[in-house]
Order: sequence, then C-alpha cells, then structure tokens
Amino acid sequence: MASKGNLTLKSCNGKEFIVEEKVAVMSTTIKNMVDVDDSFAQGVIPIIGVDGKILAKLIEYCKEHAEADEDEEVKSEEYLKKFDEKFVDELNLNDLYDLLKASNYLEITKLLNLLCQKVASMIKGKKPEEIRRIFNIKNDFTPEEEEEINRQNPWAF
Amino acid sequence: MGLEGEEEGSGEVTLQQLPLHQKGGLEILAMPLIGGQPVDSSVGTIHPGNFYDNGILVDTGQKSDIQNFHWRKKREEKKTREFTSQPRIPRLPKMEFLMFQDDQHKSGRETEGGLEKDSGKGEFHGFSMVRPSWISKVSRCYNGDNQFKDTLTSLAIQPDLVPYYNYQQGILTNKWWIYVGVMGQLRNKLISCIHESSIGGHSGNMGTYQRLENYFFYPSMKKVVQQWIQNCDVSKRNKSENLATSFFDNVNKLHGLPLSIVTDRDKEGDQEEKADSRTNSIEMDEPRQKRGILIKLNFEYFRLSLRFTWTTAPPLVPPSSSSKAFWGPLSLERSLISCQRVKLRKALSLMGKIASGFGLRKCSKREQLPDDHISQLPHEILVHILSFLTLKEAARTSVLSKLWKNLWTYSVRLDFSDYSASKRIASLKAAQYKSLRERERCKFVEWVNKVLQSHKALALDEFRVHFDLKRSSKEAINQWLQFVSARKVQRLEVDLSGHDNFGCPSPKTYAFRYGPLG
Repeated sequence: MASKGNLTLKSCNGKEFIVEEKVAVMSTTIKNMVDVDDSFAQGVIPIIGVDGKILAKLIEYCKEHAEADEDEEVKSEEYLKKFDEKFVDELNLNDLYDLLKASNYLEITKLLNLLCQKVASMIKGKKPEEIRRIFNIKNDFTPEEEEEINRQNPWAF
Repeated sequence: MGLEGEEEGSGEVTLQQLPLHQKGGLEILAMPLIGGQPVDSSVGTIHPGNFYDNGILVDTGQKSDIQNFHWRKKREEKKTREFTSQPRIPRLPKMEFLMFQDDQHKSGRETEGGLEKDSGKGEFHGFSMVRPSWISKVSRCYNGDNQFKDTLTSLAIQPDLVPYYNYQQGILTNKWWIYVGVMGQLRNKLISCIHESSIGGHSGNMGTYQRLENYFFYPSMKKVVQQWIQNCDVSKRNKSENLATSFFDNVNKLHGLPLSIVTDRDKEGDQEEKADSRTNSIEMDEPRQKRGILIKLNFEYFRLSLRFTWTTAPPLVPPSSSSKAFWGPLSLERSLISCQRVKLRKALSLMGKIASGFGLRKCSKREQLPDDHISQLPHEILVHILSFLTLKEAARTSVLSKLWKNLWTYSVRLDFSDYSASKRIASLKAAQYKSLRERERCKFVEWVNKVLQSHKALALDEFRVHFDLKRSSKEAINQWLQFVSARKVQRLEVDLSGHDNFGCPSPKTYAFRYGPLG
C-alpha cells in the first residue's frame, strides 16, 4: 500500500511501481483519475495496455521532468535537453512505438511531443524507399497508383 | 409557455402536456434517450418530472371515457405496450405511458391542441410545452450550415422541392429524422454516445449506423460512422479477426488443430474469469499436462476461456515450419460444435477461412516481412508525428502505403512559408521580372488552394503563409482566412511582404494569436 503522497501504478503484466504523486500526475489521464476520485490515490492504479518495461521508462522520464519543474537549479534546461536526447536515442523501434502509444493514452504531452519529434526526424529528408525500409512499411500500391499520387501532389516531390 | 396543469381528482398529479396536434412532439422528446441513456447529460435533461410525476400523457384519439380517467396500473401497462410497439417511439425508461383516449376526437370535432377544449369535465385545462435543453443544442449546430440554409430557403419559397421537411421549434426534421448540422461537435458526440456507451458496446459499422439512423440524418453519415469506428481503438482490439489471429499464432502454429474447443462462456464462465489485466493476451496454463490447453482471452467487453484438447499429446511444431500439414485433413466443423458464442463462432469461422489456404499464404508472407508496427499505431499519433514535418515532407509520406496516403491531410499545422521560390522571388529586381513574379504568385496561390481543398482536419493549430502576394490574390486570401477560421485556428500568421524576416517581423506582418473561438 502506498504511503501518503505516493501512488501505486500497476502495469498490465502485474508489475507494481510506487511513485510520488507529482511524478504520476505528469500524466493528464492519471491526474484526472486522482482528481475525480480519491479512492484511486489510495489504491492501485492499473495502467491498461502498458507493460512493466515501458511503464518503468515512462516513470523514469516523468521523474526527471517533475523534479526539473520543481527545482530548476538542480536540473537545468540544458540538463533536461541532454536527458531527453539520451532517452530517445536509447530506444529501439518497438519501444518507441509502445512508448508513443502509452504516452498518448496517458496524455503525457511533453513525452508524446518528444517521441513524435524523434520519429519525424527519422522521416525527415529521406526518400520514400528509405522510410519504408526504416519502419518496415509495406508498399501496397501498384506502380500506377504510386504514379497517380505523385501526379496529384507534384509540389511535394 | 409554462401553464401548470390543473390538479383535480387525484391531487398528486401535476399535469403537463405536449401540444397534441403534433404527435411528432413526443417522438422528438423520446429521441435523446437512445437505448435508455441520455445522449449527453446536459442534453438529455428530460426527467420524468418534466411531464408529471411518473408518466407522459399521450392522446391516441381513440374512443374511451375520459371521465373515468384514472391512473390504473394494469390498464396502463397493457396500453403502454400497444403504444410502444409502434415503430419509432422508443420507450422512455422509468416512465409510464398513460394512454388517454378521447371520444370527442372520434366524433370528429376539431380540437386544436387536444385537451384544451370544452370538455367540461375539468380534468385537464392547460398544458405547458417542454423545451429540453438539447433542442437548443441541436438548433445551435445549424449555425453556418449551408445545407440547412438551403433547405430552409426552399422550405419558405418552394416547399414542394423539399417534401417531408419540417422546421419547428428550431429543429429541422425530415419526417421523423432530425437533421444534425455541422457546427460544433454534435455529430461526433452522437456517434460516440451510440457507439461507446455501455449500451452501444462498440458495435460494428452497421449496428451503430442503424441506431443512429433511427433518429438523425446528415449527409454522408454512413461514411462518418465508418471512419469513426475505424479509428476506435477498443473496437479494433475486440475484432474477432484478432482473436482468430492470436489463436492461429499461439495455438495452431504450435500444436496443430485441436479436436475440440470448449468454452466456459455459458454457465459459470464469468465467475471463473477474474483476470485483472484487460488486454488482449493469451496465457497458457498447464500445457499438455491434461492433454489440453487452457487459454484465457481478455477483451474489453468480453472475456472467455477456451480449453483445447487433442486426442493424443499435441504435436510440437516449431512455429515457422509448414503448418499446412496440420491444417489440411482436419475439418474445423468438429471443433465448432462446442462453441456457443456468436462472437466465438465468428472468430472460428474466420480461422476456418485462414485454414482454407487463403489465409495461409498471407500468413507465410507476413513471416517473411517483419511487422509493420508503425502503421499499427493509432492514427492520431501518426498525424501528430506528421505535424512535426514540413508540409512538403508530410505530403511526401503519402506514397508510403495506402494507410499513409491521406494521413497528412489531417495535420493540424499548415505551414506555407517554406516555398522554394519565395527566396528567389525576393531577390528579384522590380520591373523587369514582373511577369515571372506574377507567374510564381499564381503558382503559389494554386498550391495553397489545392492543399486546402484536400485538407480534412476539422481543427487547425497553426496556419502560416509567407509569400509576396499582392492585391490580385485578395480573393484567394480571403478564402484561406475563411477556411482557417472555420477550423478555429489557434495561431495564424500571414506575411505578404515576401521578405525573409524570420524572427523580426516587419510592420507589414500580421501575426495574431488568440485562443480557440467559440
């Protein structure tokens, strides 16, 4: 059972994490839950569809940012920037997707933006074939259809 | 119009009455209570008390004795059934319908307004009209709706052109269907109510559409519903295809086709299932010990356990080896016998399809290619990702695959400042390049128009135009501004000076920020 000011989050595969409330409420979804109903704050909050590994990553991120929000001197903006960079660089593709989904579901806007930016930077300046290769996107167009799209938006290519 | 009904006879009854000359009144009132749930807590504020203590009065115009009109339970119930068995009048929960029958109608007397007449019997003298708050919500959504305007105009000038249309109390109806306008989010709200409420239960395209269609209409409603459901995460997860695939991947590829599948759904199923994680997972217990495998499936809306048994110990086959051998001779029919649930049956018939070779090929193909995980992300995330790219780069993703084809048109950022010609133009010297400049301007306007035309997002965060445009494109610019204000743009930047002055806006720059309108 969590002590006062702490929340217990439970991943879908049963792992429990005890986190400070200020860290957990970085997620708008959790914040709303806690605001609406006090019973959540006491008990265990199940985080549906997020497994332990991803949840640990989420908490790691939220912790850094929550602490930075509170005390700007210890964790400066520069420090955060470096942390963010390192955080996204260490992710493999699957973790990236899972984190994207989780941060979208939990409404952690900062993280969602960071991750989207990361994916966007992977798309930026690349040819379609390269993008397909990076993300394993299967091209389900016939050559004619592809030609047609190119014709529709000639300014983009 | 709040005339209180007069209380006479039984003192506890407060009577309020709908205008009876329009029977439609009741239907309209009954509508927001789709499947027993108000469309929206603020919309469906029809409480039983709005009428009288526990019922609605309905004039059927049939012969009876008005004088002995009492609240008799048994009689009411019988008639309520008759009444609600009429199509299009859903029964309001917690309300009793009271049938009230009037011999004077029968005798052909004109009684405008039903009860208010010289019956002399004194039971009912006045009535008040109830105007629930949702009516104003509906009429508000007509603001700026072109079809509504057109219909209303034709209704006034040439009613023949728009048969069955009716405009009353600020609501446009066609027969009994209510027209829903584009303004606000009412259309979406309705779908989400019908589809996601516990009674809607994430039913499929047709189910949701039919329920909606009972009461409302607007152009291309079916399409909108389809799109909504396509984007609904929960529905996606609950699709029986998923069940089939997980069955296929986790059971069949490993162990071959079981001879029987027993489900626990029918008797004490739900008690046995106390799984707390509600994801779509398959756990295997006691593998092969009892020559059976217990599989627990957890879905958002239904859970079930399946026990698969094999007559002999199941053959262990590595997942990727040719599973065809195990599919071939066995008939799926046998295993279907013990399955009771429709959903399960559906899933299994799908497995049958997979087994019949069509799916097998597809499966083996999928194994060669690693999964395209990024396309499985919710579309909103993909669109969000695209909004971090320039317009050009976002548009370029349309060739990736069919899924990506239109994604970029939902982006909430439209930035037309990155145009290759703008720098070139800016450096050009006045008069001698005039024609070239003019041509580039036309091209630019054409480009913006084209993008806006294909754009599908309902709201915009940002709209930026940086280009050297002159009075000649006044109309186009006006149109753009109309377009963005209709989408409640939050940040609008229009710079028509044509200079590269990022960061230091010239006096000619019009950049204003404001919160969402409305």
